[in-house]
Amino acid sequence: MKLAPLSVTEADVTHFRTFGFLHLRGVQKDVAPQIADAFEGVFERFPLVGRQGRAGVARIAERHEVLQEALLADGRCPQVARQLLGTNVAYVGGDGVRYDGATYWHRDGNHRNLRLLKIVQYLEPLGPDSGALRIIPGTHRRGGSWDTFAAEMANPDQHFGMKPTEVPAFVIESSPGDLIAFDPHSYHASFGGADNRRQITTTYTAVPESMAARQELSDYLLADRSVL
Amino acid sequence: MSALEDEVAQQLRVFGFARVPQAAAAVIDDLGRAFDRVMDLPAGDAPAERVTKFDALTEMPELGLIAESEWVRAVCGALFERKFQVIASDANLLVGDSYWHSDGFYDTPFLRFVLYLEATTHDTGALRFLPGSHRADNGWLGDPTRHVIRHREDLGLEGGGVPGVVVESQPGDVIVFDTNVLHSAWHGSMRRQLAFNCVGEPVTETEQRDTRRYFLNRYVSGSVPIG
Repeated sequence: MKLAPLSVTEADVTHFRTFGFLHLRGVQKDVAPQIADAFEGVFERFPLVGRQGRAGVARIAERHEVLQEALLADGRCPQVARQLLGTNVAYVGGDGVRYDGATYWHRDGNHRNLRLLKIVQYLEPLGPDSGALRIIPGTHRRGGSWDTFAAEMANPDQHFGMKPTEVPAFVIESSPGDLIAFDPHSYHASFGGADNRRQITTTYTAVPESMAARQELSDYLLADRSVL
Repeated sequence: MSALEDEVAQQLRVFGFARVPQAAAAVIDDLGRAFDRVMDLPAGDAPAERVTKFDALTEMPELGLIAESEWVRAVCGALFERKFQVIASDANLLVGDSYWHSDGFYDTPFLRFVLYLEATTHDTGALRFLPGSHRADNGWLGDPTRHVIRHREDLGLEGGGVPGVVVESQPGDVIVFDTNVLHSAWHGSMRRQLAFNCVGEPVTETEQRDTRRYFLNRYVSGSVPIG
């Protein structure tokens, strides 16, 4: 399998820092079928963990040669992560997941100091009504009033009189072969997805420089995310 | 105050905008006739640029029915938590795009209530917003706003490609927003818009100064031809 290095432009970096995400369209298009085969192969060989609506294999990218090469090789996702986070990064895991139904509005953790980047790809085409990732742009920034609206975001019906699907957000419609890089501190969700939507995630952290960030990274690594 | 108005006020606090479906439905036909009467454009003469008529409320009692309605009072009461006043009103014949901008990042909140007399969609000039950008503490001031405004140079995107939230509307809907919020409209041809702006009764020096500046900024603009 021959893959060109993945790289992002200065405008891409600005987009990520302004809105909290970046949609890299078609960058894995040539290997999308091999990636889907690899996903299935791993799911056959490894035990699944999770909960209702979310069955997965932890650290899937390390469990198959194709995924290692397409995602974890130095010139691929790690390079994108370094460019977007603007510093040295470390790979901290990820998973392959089959989703059923919706994932409601949430942030991953509530890290004040730790900076994570999730790079996700979906193996099915996804639109607004079929489980596409949606993000509220700009909510990745720490310390703003978004940090005080957790109760509202958890229950938009009660606080805004809105269904979760009506919360104003940008829907990232994607096709197999796309990558979406996002700061998981952004408020994100997906709705209307068909059963067995397949997702592969790799997660990177900016190498922490402060004691507070190191502590948050330690907590993150020790958490059992198999049931999240 | 009903749950609806409280929810609209909460949407305004958190996102900076809200759509109130069919809140002006009962008078939408009257508003259409009043618009044509007040703008008084020559028949068959499609303007090449936006045409604005300020102080629309003085000539359009039909718009006053909305501005003085119970629900507008309730939304303003919930948001400003004091008496409020209408500080400006206008009728606009909009042409083409409205670029990404904020109406000024004021410490004092100002609300703009907007009605379109035609349906507006993603591809026909619907308003679009960046949620939460009305709040200074959300970090939009400075570089992020600069990048949005300079979207072509900094992001390599056309204005319609900036990842905002499009609020499509039908005649009779009212869109209300905090005028600090970053907003724009793209792909629109000609569309008729009515609007009025409200502010809580200014008490502090900052509020009085902001209100004076806001008032002047709405009326003194070299880029908006006055009809």
